[in-house]
Amino acid sequence: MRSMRVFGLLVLSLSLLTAPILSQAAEQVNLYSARIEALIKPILDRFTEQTGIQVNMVTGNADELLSRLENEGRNSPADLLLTTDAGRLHRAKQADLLQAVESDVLSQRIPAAYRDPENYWFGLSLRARPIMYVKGKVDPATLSTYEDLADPRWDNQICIRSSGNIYNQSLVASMIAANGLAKTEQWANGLVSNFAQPPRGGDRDQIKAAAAGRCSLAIANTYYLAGMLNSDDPTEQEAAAKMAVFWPNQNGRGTHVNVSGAAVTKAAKNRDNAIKLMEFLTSDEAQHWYADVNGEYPVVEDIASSALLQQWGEFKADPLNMGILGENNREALKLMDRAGWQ
Amino acid sequence: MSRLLPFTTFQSLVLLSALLLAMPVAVVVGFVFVPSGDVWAHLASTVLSDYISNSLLLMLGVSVGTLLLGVSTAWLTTMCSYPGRGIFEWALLLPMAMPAYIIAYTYTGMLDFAGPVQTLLRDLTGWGFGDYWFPQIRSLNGAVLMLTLVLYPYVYLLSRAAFLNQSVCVLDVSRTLGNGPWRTFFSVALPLARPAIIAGLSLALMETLADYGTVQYFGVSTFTTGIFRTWFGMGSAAAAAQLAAGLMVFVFALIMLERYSRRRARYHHTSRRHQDLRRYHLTGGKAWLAFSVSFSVLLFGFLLPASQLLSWTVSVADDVIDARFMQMLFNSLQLATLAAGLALVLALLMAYGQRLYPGKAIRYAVRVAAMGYAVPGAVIAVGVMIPFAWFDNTLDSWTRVTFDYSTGLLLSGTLVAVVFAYLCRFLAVALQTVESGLGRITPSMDEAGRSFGYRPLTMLRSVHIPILQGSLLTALLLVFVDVLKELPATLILRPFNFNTLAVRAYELASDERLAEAAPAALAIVVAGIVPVILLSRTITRSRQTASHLNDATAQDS
Amino acid sequence: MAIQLALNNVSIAYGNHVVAEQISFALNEGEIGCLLGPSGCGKTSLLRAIAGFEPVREGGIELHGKVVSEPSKQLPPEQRHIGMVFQDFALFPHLTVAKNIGFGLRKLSRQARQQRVDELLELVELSAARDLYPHQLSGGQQQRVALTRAMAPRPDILLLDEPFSSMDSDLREQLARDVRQLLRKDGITAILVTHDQHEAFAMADHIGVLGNGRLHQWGNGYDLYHRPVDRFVADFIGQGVLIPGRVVGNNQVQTELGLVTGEIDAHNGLPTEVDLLLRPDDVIHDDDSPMKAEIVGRAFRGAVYLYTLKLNSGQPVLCLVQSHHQHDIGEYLGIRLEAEHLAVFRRY
Repeated sequence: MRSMRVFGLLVLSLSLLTAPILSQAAEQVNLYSARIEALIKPILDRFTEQTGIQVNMVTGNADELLSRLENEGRNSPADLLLTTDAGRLHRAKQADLLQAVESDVLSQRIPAAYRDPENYWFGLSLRARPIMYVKGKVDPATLSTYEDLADPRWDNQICIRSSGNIYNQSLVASMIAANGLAKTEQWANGLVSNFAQPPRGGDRDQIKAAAAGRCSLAIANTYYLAGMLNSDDPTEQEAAAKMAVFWPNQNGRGTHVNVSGAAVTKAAKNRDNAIKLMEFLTSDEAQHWYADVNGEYPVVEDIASSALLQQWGEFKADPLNMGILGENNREALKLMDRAGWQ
Repeated sequence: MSRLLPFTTFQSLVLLSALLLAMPVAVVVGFVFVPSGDVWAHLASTVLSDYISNSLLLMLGVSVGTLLLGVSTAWLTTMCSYPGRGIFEWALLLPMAMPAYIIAYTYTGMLDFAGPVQTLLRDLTGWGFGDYWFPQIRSLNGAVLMLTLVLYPYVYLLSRAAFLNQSVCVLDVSRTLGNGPWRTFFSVALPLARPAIIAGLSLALMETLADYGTVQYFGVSTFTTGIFRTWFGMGSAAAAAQLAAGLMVFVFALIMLERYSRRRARYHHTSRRHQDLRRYHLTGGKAWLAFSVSFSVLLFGFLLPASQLLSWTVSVADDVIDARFMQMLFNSLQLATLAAGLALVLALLMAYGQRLYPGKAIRYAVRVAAMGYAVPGAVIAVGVMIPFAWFDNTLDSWTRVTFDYSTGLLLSGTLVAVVFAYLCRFLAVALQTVESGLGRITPSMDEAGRSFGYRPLTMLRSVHIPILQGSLLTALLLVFVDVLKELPATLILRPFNFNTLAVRAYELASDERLAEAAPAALAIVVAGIVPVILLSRTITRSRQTASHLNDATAQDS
Repeated sequence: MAIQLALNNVSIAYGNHVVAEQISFALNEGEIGCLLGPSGCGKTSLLRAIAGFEPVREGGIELHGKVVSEPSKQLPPEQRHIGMVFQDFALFPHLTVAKNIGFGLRKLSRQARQQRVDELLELVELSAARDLYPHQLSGGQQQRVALTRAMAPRPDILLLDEPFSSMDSDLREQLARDVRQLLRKDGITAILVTHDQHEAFAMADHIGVLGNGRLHQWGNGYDLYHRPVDRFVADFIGQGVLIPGRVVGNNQVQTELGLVTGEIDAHNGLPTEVDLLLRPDDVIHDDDSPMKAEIVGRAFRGAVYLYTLKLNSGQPVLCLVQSHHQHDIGEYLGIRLEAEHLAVFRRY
């Protein structure tokens, strides 16, 4: 008898689970975000305050969210997809999961390189991936380009994370676009042989390893360095203080950048609200927020970056259209596999 | 009674639920038939051999490690008496509450080149980089160590239960035949506990194969990191699923091999009389050694990483612990409770179905359903997502055409999908425990019950459940703790605005914000401690139950 | 003959609870001894002390001329060269019959081990079962495997802990005799623990009767039956009644049934007021006897009836009568006494 009661309770709880979770707010927008909650929620709350539109969110890995979007099809509740790299937006467009958006605000504020030519997706912040060197150990005059890092004189001096990481994949994708497949593969072979350690850990770990003396150069996104400088942990601050940023390829195509961006889904039911949210994210307030809180560079041109970011100076970014990064991503990964880049 | 079907209602119920839970696995395996282009040729010519050798080495290392730590501590706390034994008995289970990737982050924080240990070493000695050798924590060996430290409790738990239930007479016989305590342990106690130890080990190994967080962070390319690299990097979900299917075939083969190797030997105890367990009283050096072994395992598996988490938590507590944090805690506990209860009911149903109707259909369906444990959570999640979305969309299309009404997504994106994924993934845990409990009940009890005309469900309720109480509670608590830690399926299948502790801990940790991740990780650990202690008490009590039981049957005979 | 096992004033206790007190006895090589007593008398504790599983509180145990247990030190079981058969056999469920038997022979070479196992399997007629697992055997077969396993390493002494208790009662005596024969053939010294006197009589040369942790008497079956040293032994072994009497001469006791003559086993001096033990076979049915007693109960025992009679004073006595003499309850039966030994105990 007791087991029957337990069973009854289970059935009851299950039926509660299927009950609609969303409160039926008058105005809302549903977001699938590859950016983690802690790094987007505060600005979304500002949006709700200003517009009264409630933002519902599921965060997760970008490819998993794409899978979910794809399987849910036309019934998907998601209106807006937010990713931390352009490649995934490109992939979503290819998979026919997005729709084009005509918005004067977006077209005017976002430079052409950072949005889809057909307006399927829009970049919202820039993530630069320069070379970082240990102050006093490396003379910045000896640094020049990404290509130069394959030179044998950097043997055993380079720290960089695994090729499984999207930022490395898009860096290599941009090099394939600039130099072609064969030359890039040759470069990757050279770079791998200059590794000071097998790739492991994240970008912060590369910076820490360099600061601790394991290598002289680290390749990492700038916002990680910014995060370390702002950290509560004194050892992180200390390590970051030992490092300086070098902007490579300034005489050529410019330093590699990726964007975090957004796109309206094909199944969107709150299309207008989704566009409003995207437009809000390009507003001065949101763009400043990206710089101040997340240490990323504003995508809107005349927004000043934070004081912290300014200390590393102005730089010229590679104007390659982000869509190309997505297109080359697969080849980039295979190339790194062949080069033995773990 | 007329039989229209080849199965009884009960059999059909068992088969149906097994098939339902096997569905995600089947979906993943189904990808074998989806063409994936040149990905395989590329993988085979470049990284596949690395994936395979690293995964095998990882499994080997974790096997050796978990057996060494798990069996030795189980034997010590069960059969010996030494200072602190009563505390170690339950405390040694604590590392189970620690997610593997969390322990990996804490150890990296402590032991990495830039971490406090090495920095202190350099400050003390004046050495710089390259002047000294220090073990690299982020390596294959490091991954083996991390996984061993959090997974040995499975081996500990199940082998301890086996040691507690073994007949003292059998051990005594061995000693009268000239075998000392050590040889008795290796030639009698260990082989007798083998099914339990193997059950614990296979849980640990399945978790090892499914682990993504630790190996990915440590830069070890395993089969599982390969699955995700192929999926995310090349955008080839099909090739990723095919890799996952390969993984499952491998696990399946291992399980079958083990079952074959003990096809005839039985492990029901032939002894009917239980004597009081008299522990070896250790003194002097031996007691000290036993204490040090137990304490080191506890120190490295729990105390050190937990205090690291605690110190991080203290540094950020004000910013992080708020009302939303409490909501996450509640969500985690609610899901874990619900999933554990359902997993138990299903495991009982299946274990019982197999026992009563030892046919092939049920056996294989159940085995396949239990494979989910070896599959990375995100892959299982996709396996759940696809059929659920298909069901929702098909129903929606039909109602649109027929009633001009859209049902939308009924199941996708609800907690039903999340809980279903948990069940697929953790059924094996509950099943192993329930099965090993059922294995201790002799078949003659079943036959006796049925000779009195008990129907299967009556037997279950009036005979087995009371006897199995300990095993059932163990299954419940194991799943509970596992769900608390579960991440990938929750992440991808959850409804809007629904967060758990594991999601919070992982998101921050993956953004390399270890300190901010610490409170959620610590909350998982703390929430896991209570069930872990309960678990240990249940097992200790199970010996008493078992001996009452045996006295009763001895009188009957 | 050499003494193989000797217990000298052995006491065993768990905390304050003394389970065996001042036990002494000895067994010669090749002899079979038995510790007989009701459950809880301490016999199993004694056996486990001989095996080395229990420490002794006082006294010492010698095996094969060597002290193996004393309060200060005890040799672990594996170094005593003993064999033990447990009540529930405790066969290893994960090993075949042959491997169970060969378990204690690991010091032998592979070949020698196999030879010994084969030889033993033949001896106990289990050759066909060598590759079976314990759960595939009958109870009797399991028992033989357990015995053979213990005998295989030719132990200095074999310890049997209620080895027949799980057998059918009509099989027990037969099995006990078989085992005795087997042990005799191999010249093995053995000690058996049981609560069943028939088992003890069938198997043992010497029997010790234990009660409440004390060894009451050590002797052969005849002595225990006819010359019990105290009321406990008299009561525990066989059947019988105690009737009041008065010692009137060196070998005469005056009772309600008249003057009984026989050799008196006097313990602790010879008191005057005594209880005399009357076994059923001491009371002879004799129609010519002037002594008559009323039949109040009878039990059919095959060849004989066991009658319960009531004397005039109300004192019951037991009497065995061949079964073709049928008498009904309520009839009066003529009886007389015939005893070689008179067992008398001081009356309080």
